[in-house]
Amino acid sequence: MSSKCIFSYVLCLSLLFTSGCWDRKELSDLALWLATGWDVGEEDNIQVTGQIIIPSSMQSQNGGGNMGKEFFTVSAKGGNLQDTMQNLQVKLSRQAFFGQRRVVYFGEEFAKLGLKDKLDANTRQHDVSIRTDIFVVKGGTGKEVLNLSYPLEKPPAVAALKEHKELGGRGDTAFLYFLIAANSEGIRPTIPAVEIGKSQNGENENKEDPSNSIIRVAGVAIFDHELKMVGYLNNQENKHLLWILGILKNLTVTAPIKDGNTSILLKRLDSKIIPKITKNNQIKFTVELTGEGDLLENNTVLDPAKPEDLKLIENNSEKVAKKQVLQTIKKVQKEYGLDIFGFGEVVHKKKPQQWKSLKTNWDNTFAEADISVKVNLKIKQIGFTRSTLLKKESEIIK
Amino acid sequence: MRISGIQLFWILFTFNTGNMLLITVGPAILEAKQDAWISFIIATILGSIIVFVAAKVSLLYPKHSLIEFSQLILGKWLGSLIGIIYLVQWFTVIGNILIELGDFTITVLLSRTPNWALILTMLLLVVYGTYVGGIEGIGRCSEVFGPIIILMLVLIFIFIISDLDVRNILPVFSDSGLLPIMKGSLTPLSLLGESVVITMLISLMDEPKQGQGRALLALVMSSFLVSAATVCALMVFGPNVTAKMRFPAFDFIRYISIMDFIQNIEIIAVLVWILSVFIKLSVYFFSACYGTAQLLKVKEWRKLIWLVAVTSFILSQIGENPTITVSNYIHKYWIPYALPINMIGIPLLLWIVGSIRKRNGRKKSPDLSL
Repeated sequence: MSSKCIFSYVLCLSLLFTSGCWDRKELSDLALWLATGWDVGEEDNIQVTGQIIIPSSMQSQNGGGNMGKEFFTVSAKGGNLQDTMQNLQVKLSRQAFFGQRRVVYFGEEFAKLGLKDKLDANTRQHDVSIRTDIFVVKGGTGKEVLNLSYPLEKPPAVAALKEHKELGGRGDTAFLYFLIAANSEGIRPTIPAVEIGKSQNGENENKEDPSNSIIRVAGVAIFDHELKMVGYLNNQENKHLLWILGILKNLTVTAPIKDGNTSILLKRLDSKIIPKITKNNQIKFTVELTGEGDLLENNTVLDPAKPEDLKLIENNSEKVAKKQVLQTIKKVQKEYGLDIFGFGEVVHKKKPQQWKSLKTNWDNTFAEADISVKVNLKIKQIGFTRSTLLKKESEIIK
Repeated sequence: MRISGIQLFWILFTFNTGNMLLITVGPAILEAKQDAWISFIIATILGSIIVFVAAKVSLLYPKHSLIEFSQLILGKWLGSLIGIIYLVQWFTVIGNILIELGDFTITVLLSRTPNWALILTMLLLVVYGTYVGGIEGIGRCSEVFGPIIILMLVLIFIFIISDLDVRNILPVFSDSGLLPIMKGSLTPLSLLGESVVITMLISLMDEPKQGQGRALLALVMSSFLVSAATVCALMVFGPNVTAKMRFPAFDFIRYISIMDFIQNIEIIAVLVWILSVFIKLSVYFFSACYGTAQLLKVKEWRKLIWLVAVTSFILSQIGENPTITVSNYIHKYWIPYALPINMIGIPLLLWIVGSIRKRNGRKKSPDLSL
């Protein structure tokens, strides 16, 4: 009994030393690929650029004035992604590993040619994740963006993702939203855009100082149903788009009022679209936008602690927000005629029977649809002061 | 060698859940789009009827297994034929689950490991478990694995909540219609129907009478969890994207990211699946050995383990492309033949003929009822 017992213990212990597997990959054999840039190559080629961590510089904590680069970029051309990767591997001493890839950039030219027949490898391989942020580089190429460094973030490619998240946008769900839209009839896809800009405005702007160049989020790129890029919306319009889509996380509404202006930071935003189809197949939409948030700035004599003044500020901000959102919708209807807001999907979900006949010519129907906007804002916190401390009492009484 | 009622419950629950999660969610969504959850409800109802009939048949002869009582009911030759029909199903399904195991593990985890290494490891484990423990060992294993599976799935459902969007499963019913929904319920039903294997297990229970209730409970519970997973996948990716995925339930688990901190927990899904597949393989493996032994009147069923092991290993190595082999197996054998014949037809026939014979037999002499 006891010898048998000992024997089985020895067998169990041996497991600790004999286990292993074929797919062992040492960290020192991998090139950690952080971001991909897709650009047009020659003829129908594509060019793929990758940003890869230099491990030794990531470990050193004594950064400071040390200007040692913490990443390097490689690029190659080929027929599709895997072909390019094969051409790219000749420059890489380690196997490229995509498990940490967080961001993908598309050059503007590349996006204009269409994404339909290019991106399959981004979802087929087991080491890439659908949870990825994607950007179109406005007026530039993915390669240029990946060569920029960013002072705050060690792997600089992540900077755009973080900016994006701070702005309350889609963040790392951008690729999924794009895929869902690309597979739906009632919404046209959009991809957030970035551009290469200067960190400071003003006189420094013209200086050819590379350290002054940074990535900045620049609104959103609009795609048609062939997944070809057709144009952009700016940052503010992008926020309106996200608000209508119901995925915006924060928004600051600044409104002029009386003798100054107020700013509200909205944190809990929501939207509801109500379709109405009249007898002669005219479609009407009412967009109900709601928001709750804090009063951050009040440069007026109004006293938000008084209910009537608070109401005044709210109403005024609602009016401003409504006007801006409506302007954005009108612009998209007139300039692009593409339903990036997903009004079609709302019809699909709420009136599935009518949708079957409407979907064939949806973009035209959308462009002519009658859309009205209702905004309802609520201020929850007003901060430490009542009316601004900078105006005299005589002004307040007025 | 006896199992308790609770053990039967856990065996069947574990037996159903893993493979349902992996291979039924995709096909159901492909057919029924965002209404796949209705398909699952239909499959659950029909599956419950299958289990009900199978349990009723087994309770006619609570001391005999399927292979034996089919001969008692239909006579020696016809009964043996039925035994052979089931053995064909069990032998081939072991081979196919092994192919699936290799394919899935290679796709998601170990891309450079050869197929046979994975299959052989799992097969040896199954052989060991069955040889040493028999059905009792399998029962005890599932008592441990079952709760782990439930816990993991509940954790996953909690983690995914923040990514769910109810709008993705609307509109209900108008995009698909009745026919696609029924079609979508076929694959889930053909896997739930595998519970007919209880005809082998009930005779091995302490109290066979508990079998029916426990088996039904297990079926409802596992199909509830799988339906929940289907709804989660649909709410995360939307019906159009999900329909193109091979393993949607696995993909949504991969998508989980809580505050950029809890990420890449797909390994939990793999764990759930491997535990469940181990039980499934063991149950089929045991049934194949035990059934063959009873058919050939071999006293020691363990002697047949090596026969079954070698056969299933060979079967698992035959196909050229694992995906095509499994899909052919499901669409050309499992759904058109195994589902109507093995899971519905034969149990129903045995039940009807068996009850008639028993009633007639009782009238003549009560001793004949075994």
